[in-house]
Formats: sequence, C-alpha cells, structure tokens
Amino acid sequence: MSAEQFELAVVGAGPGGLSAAARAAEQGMSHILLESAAKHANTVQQYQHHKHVMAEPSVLPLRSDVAFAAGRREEILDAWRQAIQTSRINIRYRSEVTGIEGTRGNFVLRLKGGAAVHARHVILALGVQGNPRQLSIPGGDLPCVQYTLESAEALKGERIIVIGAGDAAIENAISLARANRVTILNRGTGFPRAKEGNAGRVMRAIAAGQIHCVMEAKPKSLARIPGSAAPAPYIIKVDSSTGEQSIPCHRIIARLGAVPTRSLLEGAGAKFLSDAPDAAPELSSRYESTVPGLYVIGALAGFPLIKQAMNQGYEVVEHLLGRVVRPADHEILASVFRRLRNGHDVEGTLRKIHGTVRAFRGVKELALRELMLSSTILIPAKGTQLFTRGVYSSSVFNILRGEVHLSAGDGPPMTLRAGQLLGEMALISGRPHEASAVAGADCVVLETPHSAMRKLVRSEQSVRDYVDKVYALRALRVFLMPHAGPQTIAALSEGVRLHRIKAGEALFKQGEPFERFYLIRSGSVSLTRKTGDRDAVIAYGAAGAYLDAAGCLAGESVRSMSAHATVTTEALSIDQVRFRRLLGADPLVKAKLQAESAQQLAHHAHMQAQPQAGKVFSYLMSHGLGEATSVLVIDEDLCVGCDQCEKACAATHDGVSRLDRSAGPSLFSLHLPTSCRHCEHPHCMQDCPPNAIHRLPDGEVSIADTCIGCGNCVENCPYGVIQLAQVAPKASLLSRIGRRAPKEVAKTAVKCDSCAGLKGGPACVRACPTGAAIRIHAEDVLKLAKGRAAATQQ
Amino acid sequence: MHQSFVNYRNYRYGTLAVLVTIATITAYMLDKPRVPPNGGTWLGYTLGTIAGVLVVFLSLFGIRKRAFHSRMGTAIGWLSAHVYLGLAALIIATLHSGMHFGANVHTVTYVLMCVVTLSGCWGVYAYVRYPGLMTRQRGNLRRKELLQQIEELDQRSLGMAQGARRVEALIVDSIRRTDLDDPSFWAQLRGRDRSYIMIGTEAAVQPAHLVPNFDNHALIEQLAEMRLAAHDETTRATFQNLLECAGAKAALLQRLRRETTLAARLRLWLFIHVPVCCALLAALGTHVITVFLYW
Repeated sequence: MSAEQFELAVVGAGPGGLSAAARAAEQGMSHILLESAAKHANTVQQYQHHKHVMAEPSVLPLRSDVAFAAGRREEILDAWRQAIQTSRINIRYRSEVTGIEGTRGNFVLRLKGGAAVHARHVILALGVQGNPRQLSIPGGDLPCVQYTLESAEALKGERIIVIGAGDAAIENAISLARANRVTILNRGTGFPRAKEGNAGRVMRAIAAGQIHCVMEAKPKSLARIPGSAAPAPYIIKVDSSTGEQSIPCHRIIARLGAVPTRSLLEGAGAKFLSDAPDAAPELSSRYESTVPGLYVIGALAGFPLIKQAMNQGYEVVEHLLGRVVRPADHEILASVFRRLRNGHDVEGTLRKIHGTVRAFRGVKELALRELMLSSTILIPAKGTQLFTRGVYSSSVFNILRGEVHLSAGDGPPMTLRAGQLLGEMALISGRPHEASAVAGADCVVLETPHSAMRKLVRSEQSVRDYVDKVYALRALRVFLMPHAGPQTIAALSEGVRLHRIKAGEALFKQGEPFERFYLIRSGSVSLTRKTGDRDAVIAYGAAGAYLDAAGCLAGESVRSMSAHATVTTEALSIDQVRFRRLLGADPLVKAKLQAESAQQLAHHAHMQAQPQAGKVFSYLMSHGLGEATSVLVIDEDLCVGCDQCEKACAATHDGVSRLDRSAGPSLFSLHLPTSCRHCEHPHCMQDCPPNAIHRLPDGEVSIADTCIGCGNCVENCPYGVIQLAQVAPKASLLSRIGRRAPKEVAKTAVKCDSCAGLKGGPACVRACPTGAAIRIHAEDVLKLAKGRAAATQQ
Repeated sequence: MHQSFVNYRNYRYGTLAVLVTIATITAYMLDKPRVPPNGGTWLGYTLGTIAGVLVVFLSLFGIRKRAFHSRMGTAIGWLSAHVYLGLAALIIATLHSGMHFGANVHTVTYVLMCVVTLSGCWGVYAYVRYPGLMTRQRGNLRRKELLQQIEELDQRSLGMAQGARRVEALIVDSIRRTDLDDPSFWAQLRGRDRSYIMIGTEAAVQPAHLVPNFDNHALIEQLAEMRLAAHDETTRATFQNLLECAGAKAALLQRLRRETTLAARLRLWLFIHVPVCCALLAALGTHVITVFLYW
C-alpha cells in the first residue's frame, strides 16, 4: 500500500488536535489529522446531551483558529464541525493509529488496516480515554452491543448485560438498574480495579438483589433469537464458575476498558515521568516528548482542560513554523512573579525557583509552570503567622528566601531556611497543622495549593521521595521526640519504612511476631483483639497515633492485637529492636511512651468490656467515619421531622439543599444524614479538572464558582453527598413581573460547605428548633455512639 | 453533646420564667390597691403590658424560625424561651385579670391565651415523647426502606404466583389496592388501613366483590384456603411461602401505619396552636384598643 508524506501528522481530532490542524491549514503547512472514530471530538461527543461545557481556566486567553467558548455540547461540537469544513483541515476519520516509528523528519504512522502515513513531525492529541476494547466473540458485532452509555434515563424495562468490573461498568450498571434488569458479567470474583466507593455501591446493590452478577464469567457467543416468544431478542452464552449459562437480553454494554494511549506513546519510544498509570509523559517546555519531533498535548500530556489543549495545539504548530511563541500562561506567570521584583524574566525566575526549592529539583519545566499557575508568592512581614497549629489549610509552603520558625508542642522551635518545605504534615494527613509557622526576617515563600502539590507528588518520584523524607523527620520530632537534636532524628529516620494499605487490609495481625513500631501518617486503623471466638474492637488510631505503645514498651515478641485500615491508610514504621535501643538511650521518649501506653491500656480494657461499643464503632467505620472530620448527627429522639435543617440549607444556598435528612444510616437513635463529612483526604478533590474544590481554614471542603459541572466529584464521593444542580441566581423583581424566562444556568456540583462565610455556624444546626441536629468531629461521634451503646447495654 | 429545647443551656429560660413568675406573684401579693385587683390598677397595667409584650415576642418565634439568615440567637434557644416564657405569660395574664371574667373581649382574649398555652403544652409533650417512640417503632428502618421492603415482598409474591392465574390475579389485585400512603391528614392520624381486595374473580360460587383487606387479612384467608385445597406438596409449599410473604407484608404495613400515625400526632397540636395564636393576636389588639378607648 502506498504511503503518503506530510510535514505534520496530528493524531486525534479532539480540541487540541483540531486546533493544531487548523493552525497548520491556515499557515499552508502540509498536514493530516487522523481520527479513529467516525466523528470529531470523541470525548465531547460522549458527554450527556445538552451538557453545558465550561471554558476554564477563565484567566487563560484562547489561542486558536478554532472557536471555543463556554456553551452547550451541541453548540460547541457544531462550531468545531464548521471549523473543519471551512478551514481546509485535511481530516481522515476511522483512521486508528496503531504504531509510531521514527524520529524528527522521518516518522511512520501505522494505521489499522495496514496503511501508513509518513510525516516530518507528529502531534499526539489523543486524550486519555483511549479506544474502547471490542467484544471479540461470535456475534460481537450485532447492533445490541454498545461501548458507551449516553443516557441511562432513556432506557426502561430492558434486560441489559453490562460486561466489565471497572468504574465505568459499575456506574453504568447502577444507573441502569433503577429501571432495568441488569446483569454484570465479571471476569473475576470481585471489583479490585474499581474505586472503593464504586466497589462498595455495586456490592451492596448485588447483595440487595438490585443487580445480578455472574462471577468468573467468560462470554462465549451472542446471537439473535428468532421469533417473539422469548423475553428478549438476543441471547448471550457465558461460561462461569457455575457452568455455562444462557442469558436473554435486549442490550449489551461492554465496558472492557480502553487500549491505553500510553502504550502508543511508549511504543514510539517516549518516556513517562513515573510508572503511575496517570503519570504524564516527559515533555519539554514546547510539549516535545523524549522522541525528537513527537509532540504530546492535551489530557495525555497532563492538561485536562479544553482550552489548554487548544492553546497547546496552536503553540506547537507555531513553534514548528519557526516562530517564537510564548506559552499562553506567560502573562499569568509574570503576574504571579511580579511581587518578587528580582529583575528576572519569567523563565529566569522559574530557573531560580527550580534551583532553590529542594522539592522541585527533579521537576520538569512544564510541570513546574503548571504548579506556579496555581501558586502565590507571599512576602510576609517578620512575625506573620503562615499557619497555626490546629487550623486546617489547603496549602504547602516552600521558602524562597529568608527563614521561617516552626514550633510544635513541647520542643524548641525549628528554623527552616530557603529551599525547605513547610506544611507537609497537613498535606499528608489531611488534618489540621501539627505546628505553627512564623515568618522570620526577609522572608519570601511560595504558597501552593494541596491539590496542585498532590498532583506533583503523584507524578514526580523525586518530589514524592523528598516529601516522604521531610515528613518522616518532622513526624518523629513532633510526635515522638520534640527534645531530640537533628542528628538523632536524622539517624532514626534512616530506618523508617512507609506502608500504604487499602481499607480492610491489615497492618499487622494478632499472633504475628512484633517486629516494627507503627505511627499512622494518614487515614485511620481500627485495633481489634480476639478473645475466644470474639473479635472485639479496642481502639481507633488516626493520623499521628502510634499503635500498641504498651506492647512495644513491654518488649512483647508477639502481637496481642490486629490493626486493620478503616480507609486507605499510610503508616511509618521503625524496626522494633532499633526503637527499643532508642528507648533505652532516651529516657524522655520512654517517659512519653509510658504515659501514652498507660492511657491506651486503660482505653483498650474499657472498650473490651463494652462489646456493643465495638459493634457501633465498626458500623460507623463502615460508613466512612474513619476519614471524616466534621459530621452532621441527628438525635432521632429529638428530631420531629420538621425539615427545618433542609429548609435552612436551601435558603442559605441558592435554593438547593445540600443535605438529605431522611437518607443515611441510623444506629442507637443517632442518624447520620447524607451530608458532606469533609473527609481528611476528600475523594471529591482527587479529580477536579478546574481545581475548584478547596479546603477552607476551618476544615470545610468547598466548591468554588469555577466548577465546570463535569460530575467527577459526584462520582468520586463514596458517600453520595455531592449533586449536580442548577444554581440559579435570584430573579429580579422586574424579571419576575415581566415573566421573562430566567437565564439558563449550567449544572454545577454543589455540596455542604458547613456554611463557611455564614457567621454563627452551619444553618442546619442553627435552624433546628429541638436541638436534634449538631455538627461534630468524627471522634466525638464515636464518643457519642459509645455512650449510647453503653446506655443500651445497661 | 445534644441538648434538647427543654434543658437548653441548663434551663436558662426555665429559670428566667420562674424568676419572672415569682416576681410578679410577689408583686401581686404585696400590692394592696384601693379597689379589688384588676387590669386597671397600676400593677394591673404593668402586668398586662408584660404579658402583652410576651405574647408578641412569643409570636415572633414563627418569624424567627423561618429567618434562616438571622444571627439573632438559634432556633433551639428561641423555642426554649418560647416554651418557658409562654407558660409564664399565662400566669402573668391571669394575675393581670385579677380573676375578673365576663362575657367580653377581654375574657375571650384570656380564653384564647389559655387554649394557645395548653395546645403548646400538648406540643411540648408531643415533641418530647413521639420522636423517641417513632425511632423505637421503626428500629433502624426508615420509611423509604420500609416501602422498599414492601415492594420486594410484592415482587417475591408475584414471582411465586407466576403461572397460576387465579393466585396471580389475587396477588396483583391485593398489591394494587394496598393503602400505602393516604394523603389525608385525618386518615393518617387514624391510621386506618383502607386496603381492599377483589375476591371470587373466577369462582362461580359467588360473584367478584371487593372486601376490606385490613393488614392483608383477606388475602391471608384466601391463601390459607387455597393451601388447604392444594393437592400436591410443591403447591402447598408455594402457598406456605406466599402466606409468609403476606404475613411479613402485614407486619411492615403495621409499622408503616404506626409511624404515619405518630408523625401525624406530632403535628396535630399545631392545627390548634397556630390558628388560635393568630386569633389571640387579633383579640389582644382589640383588648388593648378597647381598654385605651373606652376605659
């Protein structure tokens, strides 16, 4: 087959690819835009109908020959379709690129079906969605098989087979099960690939009989059933652990995952920043990968927003044309750096920060630029508090110049100097600061939001290592030996190990040899002791707690209890022998541990005497109390069901109540309504493209107006406390009289923000006339429930 | 950690009300007017003013509890004050009257006040007693879950009855005519089960007719008869299962109704308290105007 030769090949006709191809077309550059699907912008095509698409970040100007502004999905897709028609873009649909070889000036792009395209340069603008894996069984091409689900509401009364055990399969199955008979075909026996929340939801739905699930299922064949007597027009044959089954169905939704776009890039020889599945490829400031001439833009490059991708497409083509083009973020960075007045330009300042800040030493320029976009330069006067012990914050600080004094608990203050990191303990634990930081003389610091820093920690191994190391040093000092000198702590920290465990997994088990001493870094664990047949919960350990101090002090050789994570948990550990040597040498640490273990022993005995309390405890943990910071608790003995709480919530939040009083679990007359618990590590924050979710100083997790309504947080929240709602501005009297139709407002994510900004505390609590509703810390909920359990036992 | 409106802040408003009451009673005992005690003496005017101001303040609770942005105290504080000062107001108004009653607007005002206060006391009783009763009554099952369980039982029964036309028709009809949610307040309050069932649809013995199916009684009777008449073991087992479902559903229906009744009782007093309170405000206005215009 003959191969064609182009100056530029753009892969993927999403916003980034379209923008690049349009620029090439405009400038008369020979190009080809290859799209695997039959339509442009595959990801946006799959958005729900009439979805309002936002154009964040609003501060970033759009640089593209293709138009884009916030609006409905249909309007945007139509504008792009017109741009393809009018701007002489050489687009080829149904052309899936299966491999890329070569280097600058001589790339060969292998297409599915055997054709090849030659190009001097390649821009990959594939997005992260990838191409869905096909159902390769006899009959897999029948019209009843689909790979996406546009709207679950449109389907009613059907028998639907969902194949897969990932998040997409689970979410589809759950939404379809409301009005259809859904069967999940799961290749394995559980849902290990799914998010914890989704796995829990689907297990509950299966247990409740709302969804049928065939485990260890291997689809064999699909066929149409002739005649109309059958309950459904198709039948799928499946091999399962219980033998072959034939299941009638109207429709099959195959969510078999996607062929990852990463493999295409790796096949071409490009390197990635880390092995994490969501890691970005290693790119230059011009979006060039480690393969010269191969450029990566958009979501695959780690930039999930439409406008970013479009700008990058334009910039890469301008760069290929030999023009000097400043990145679109140049002006924003210049304004971030303006306060420094150091005489350097943006690039110079970036180099300086890169050289000074230890956490950023291994970070590539693009990642650093992105981090800077959300960061702020602070020049605090001497004596200014950067953060206070016991207060939440959603930022970390890196010292650019001068010094900062850090004081925690009983020990003498520590002085940190230029290049050092501050606030890493709150970053890791998701809890309030353990120390207070006060600016010294001539101090300049860089404040970075937790969300941006966490993204960097996830993608850059060097940053992760540095943060872990700093945390270990400071945690030993703050929690264990505030009096010790830096050398002692540094020597001890050398042997510290980091453990990451998922909910339900054990850190250690009763009867195992006592080898290491554990300190919880984030999340929480429940400690249980087995006596006879009974497994009793004896304690709960949150971030900052050391586990089984008594056993360690007594030099026990075998564990007398088990520790299981209640949520995803991280812990540090020190070798027991080494630690006991330290105890022998340092009477202060020993005294501290003795006091702690006396308390722990008394508490354990108390809990063991109250089996009911243990049950309550486990029940609450199973409802996510292990990671909650603030919980709305309704005393059912006081609640008269007047719904004043919901009314107050709606009245103070644009008419949309963020709590559902009657939903949620109840136990011993304590009811936990569906309302945000402001988790230590909010699940909602994990994947917010415009970075609109923040933690406020008092711990409230709040969604800002920059929300684009993508719904990621709604899906990610395991407690169902976030909803997408139209938050309409209040109509003016004039428009109400004139009955002018209210302006259409896009749906955005809304959730409880604990009435941040409203003086006097949460409106729901203040409006409860009988005193039934209170908002308290998770640990107080445990105390309250324990009290109730004890009262019931008596 | 939870605090009821009764013991709010260690009976802050209860104490205040007791102090005000003691002070007014003492003043009443000590006061020796030239005429027998009545609303027209200096003390009478003073007590009347206090009681009048209190009534207006107590009515403001209705506004405050809807003012969700208000930072003037909390709703629970207002309710606590409303309850205790309301009781004190009635005592002060009684002292203000000097025990002079007659067929006039003044006595009407007093009677209305008594009705409002007594209905309020009933409200306090309802608020203190019923929520706990309702919680124990429903266990850890909320209304939605109860309804869900009922639906599941219905589906199970339908599944079992599939194929046997007569039984299926009976089950379908019993489900269709089950009284789950009567919108009328009085029906909720009385907690009557207005479920019906059509029986005898196929039998030639008697024509089809509707009978009350209170607590699934009629259905259970029908199923029991059918079980007796069944010839084989499998059919008997199916009927046994259907009977168990019907029994379980009856138990759930009872719980649902009991909860509905309690919820209605929790609100019943408000149907007296609020309208009579409006009447009281009107009467109080008339009382004050009459006093100043004609006395």
